[in-house]
Amino acid sequence: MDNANIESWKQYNRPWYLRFIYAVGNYFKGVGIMLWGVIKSIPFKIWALILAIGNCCKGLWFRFKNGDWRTKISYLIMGFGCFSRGKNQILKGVLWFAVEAVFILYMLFFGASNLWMMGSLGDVPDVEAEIGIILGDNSLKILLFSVLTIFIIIFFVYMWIKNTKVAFDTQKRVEAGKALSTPKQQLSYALNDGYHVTVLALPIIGILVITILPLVCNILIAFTNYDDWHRPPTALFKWVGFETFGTVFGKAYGSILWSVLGWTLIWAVFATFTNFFFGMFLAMMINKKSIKLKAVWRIAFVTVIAVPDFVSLMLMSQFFSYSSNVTMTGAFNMILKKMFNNPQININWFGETAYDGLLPRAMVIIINMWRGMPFTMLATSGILMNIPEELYESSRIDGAGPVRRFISITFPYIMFVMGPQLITTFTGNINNFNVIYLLTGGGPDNNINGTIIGKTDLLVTWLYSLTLETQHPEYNIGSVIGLFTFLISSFFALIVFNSSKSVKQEDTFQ
Amino acid sequence: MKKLLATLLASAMALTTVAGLTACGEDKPTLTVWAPAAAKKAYEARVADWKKDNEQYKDWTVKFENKAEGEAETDLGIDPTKGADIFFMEAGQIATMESKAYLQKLTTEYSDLIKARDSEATYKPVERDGRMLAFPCTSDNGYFLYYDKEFFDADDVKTLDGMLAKMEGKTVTVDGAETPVKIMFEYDNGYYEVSWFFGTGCMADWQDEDQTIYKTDVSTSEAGRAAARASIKYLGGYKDNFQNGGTGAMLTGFANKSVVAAFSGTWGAQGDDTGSLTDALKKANRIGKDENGEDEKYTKVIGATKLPTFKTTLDNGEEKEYQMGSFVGGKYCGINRYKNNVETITAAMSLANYFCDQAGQEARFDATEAGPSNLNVAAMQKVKDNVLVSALNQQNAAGGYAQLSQNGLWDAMKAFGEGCWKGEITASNMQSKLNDLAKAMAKGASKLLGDNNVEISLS
Repeated sequence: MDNANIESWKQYNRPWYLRFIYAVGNYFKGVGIMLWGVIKSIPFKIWALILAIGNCCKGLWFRFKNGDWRTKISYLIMGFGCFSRGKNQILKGVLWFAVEAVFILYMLFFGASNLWMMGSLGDVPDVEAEIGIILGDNSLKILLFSVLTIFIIIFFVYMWIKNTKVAFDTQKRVEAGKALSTPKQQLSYALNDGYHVTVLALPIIGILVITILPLVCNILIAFTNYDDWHRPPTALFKWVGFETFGTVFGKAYGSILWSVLGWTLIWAVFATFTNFFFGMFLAMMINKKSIKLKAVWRIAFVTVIAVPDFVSLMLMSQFFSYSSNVTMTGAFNMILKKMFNNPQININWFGETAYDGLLPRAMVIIINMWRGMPFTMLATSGILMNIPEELYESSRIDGAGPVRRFISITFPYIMFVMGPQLITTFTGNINNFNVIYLLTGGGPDNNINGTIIGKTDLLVTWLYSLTLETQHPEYNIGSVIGLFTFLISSFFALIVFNSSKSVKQEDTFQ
Repeated sequence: MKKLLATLLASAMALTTVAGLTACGEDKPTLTVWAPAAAKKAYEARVADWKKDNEQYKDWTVKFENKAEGEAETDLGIDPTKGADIFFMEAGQIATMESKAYLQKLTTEYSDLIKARDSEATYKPVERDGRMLAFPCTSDNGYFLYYDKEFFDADDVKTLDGMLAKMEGKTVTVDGAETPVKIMFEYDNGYYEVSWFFGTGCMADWQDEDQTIYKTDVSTSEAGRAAARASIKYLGGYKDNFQNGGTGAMLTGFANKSVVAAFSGTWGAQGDDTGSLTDALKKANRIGKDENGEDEKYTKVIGATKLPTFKTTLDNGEEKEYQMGSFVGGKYCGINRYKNNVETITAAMSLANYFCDQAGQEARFDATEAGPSNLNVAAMQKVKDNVLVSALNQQNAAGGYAQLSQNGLWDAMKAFGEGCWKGEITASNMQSKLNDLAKAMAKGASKLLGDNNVEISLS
């Protein structure tokens, strides 16, 4: 056997624990190399951006210098380069001019005033009148509309640069003696070659306004002091820079943030991997040749996911409900009483605080398994049915036991297909609001140095209780926690995905 | 052709977003009222009277929306311009609503009417320079003790020790499950857990209008420590005899006799979706028909009185007896200032007046047994005979603490009460838990003051 190409630690004559240690070490080395590569490339990316901007300005200047009087005027009056060159181009020119006119009108009547106040976010709060109220500045609206105005300005600058290109190109065509396009040709261009622009324009505007704009505004709120005491319309809020970040990571919430993060990560790991492994074993069991009525078993498990999250989880939380009065306690406690013939059984499933809330945490993981196993079972069933039987036969001939067959054949197949999905589930479980909130509401509360936090609280449920469950919401702190959660999720997603085999060996799998 | 169709479809989708605007521009004037469901029946009759007496409002529509008084502040906060014109709220929300300028100040005409007809204790908290911030509509936002007359005599319920002594060793078997008899006390609800603290004389309030300075002596004064010891002693020491739970648990517990006493207010007898206290007792056959063949009421087996007294030790070991305290306050009817339309606001004030004058309060009492703030109604025989209202008035006089705005108190007391009952808070960690309690109560404050205005560190 030629061992020259196999890395020295992979050789079978080394003990298994040494091989395991080396494999782990190698993995982290790979992660580190990848991270270092990313950091090294940042200055290059910044330099590339500067070069691109420089190129753009150079192009603008070049077109200005080499353009005739019509092109030069179109720098001021958009579209002039078009509609001054004959009747065929009037439509195009008028459309360009309309863009400029709408922009100037927008800025005059709406945009400029909001943008002007962006720095101070409003000066005049509402003033009480005898009957009713004299409305003053609304900080939230100012924030929203100034971000919208900035988007529109960026769009306008892009259109303006495009306009100079169009004017210059038209001029070059006239000088070369070519005919200019007629309105009919322009319309057919919009419907054929340029169709992607025509049809995508509306959805892209929709996404910008409905998704990206609120996202940017919510991120900006993390830099203000927007909470219940500074809440429009009655009061104004202002920019406070990184003060909110200081509060969250500092003395007030610091230790709590890390303990909640710790539980969030433990929960995500357990929730993902218990679902994955138990679902896989379930699929393998059902897939065995000796099991009859395979479809019936599969249907039985899939019924669980047919019922919506809300309904099944709320039912579960009622099923396990608890009252200190044994006669009023929930259904599962009653069942246990009848089963063990002990009428005093009364366990607080979701509220027991012994051992740092171990029982509620375990219960949440177990009930999540009940809901999540069918998904993995279905996915792995499909993969298992596709593994060629010859592999198993030949391994049996070679003398491999069931465990060896699993580790070398079944598991790599499944991991290759399910790897990316596992990562998505992991990052999804970091934010799994439904399961935790509907079952325990955040879990048994305890008072840590003045802040009330639950034992099964994730970062998202904590965010929810800070902003929507209290009488005095603190939106800026919620925004900071949201940003922090996003950083954590994307950190895991990027690292694990980049170093997974699925990316490295996308084309080859044997 | 296909491309043209696709473009047309895309623009049609875009146009449907504009369709939402058709909802604007209703021309029939409407007033929205946020009221609890039980009171709605009483008030609908008053709307008819209002329209009869005022010609100009004949065509106006009055829409009722179901909202409990405790939710008014949060829901107005979402967008006051879209809230109701008239809403009902609790005394504890006045300070916050005032700081956010939601409440329309009533005209001098209505303010004088209120001064003439309502009790001073209810209109004092809303009086500003002779004008009122809201109409007082009930005086019964407080709680007292319900007890099972077949278990306790009137003397037993005077002291907590007496009650617990009588309950010792007594059990009730329901469906084979044997349970010790219980007092229903919501120790995981800050509203009730404060009984210990207000009983010994602690205080907990915002000191300024903007709610930046909070003062409480629960962690720094002798009274606070005595109250904590009481909470630990009773909740932790007698944990089998205390249970938490809301109105639903109270109804089930009284019906199956596992609960022999309960801390609740006038809303307790009203019950919930499953029925009132009378219905629950009837279902359990504890009440039926009396000699004349008429239906009996819950008052046959359930009595009401002020809260009992409790004993606790002071710092020097001396034992002292205190009366259990409670939050006291009324419910108010406020006008939304942010609707910002002179005509609507004037109409709203006129309608709210009909809800909260003598006839309106009488109607509300008949529907919900709510203690009235109107002096004439309170003097009526049927109100004076009402066992709940008189228990409440007794308790307010004995141990009431005015319910001004609170913020972190609810969550803080919940954790403290639960900790005492579970046995996690004991005499050894009592002081540090009290410190955490004070800090959590002052949530959002920039300064926390303790006894003698000494500043306590918030971190």
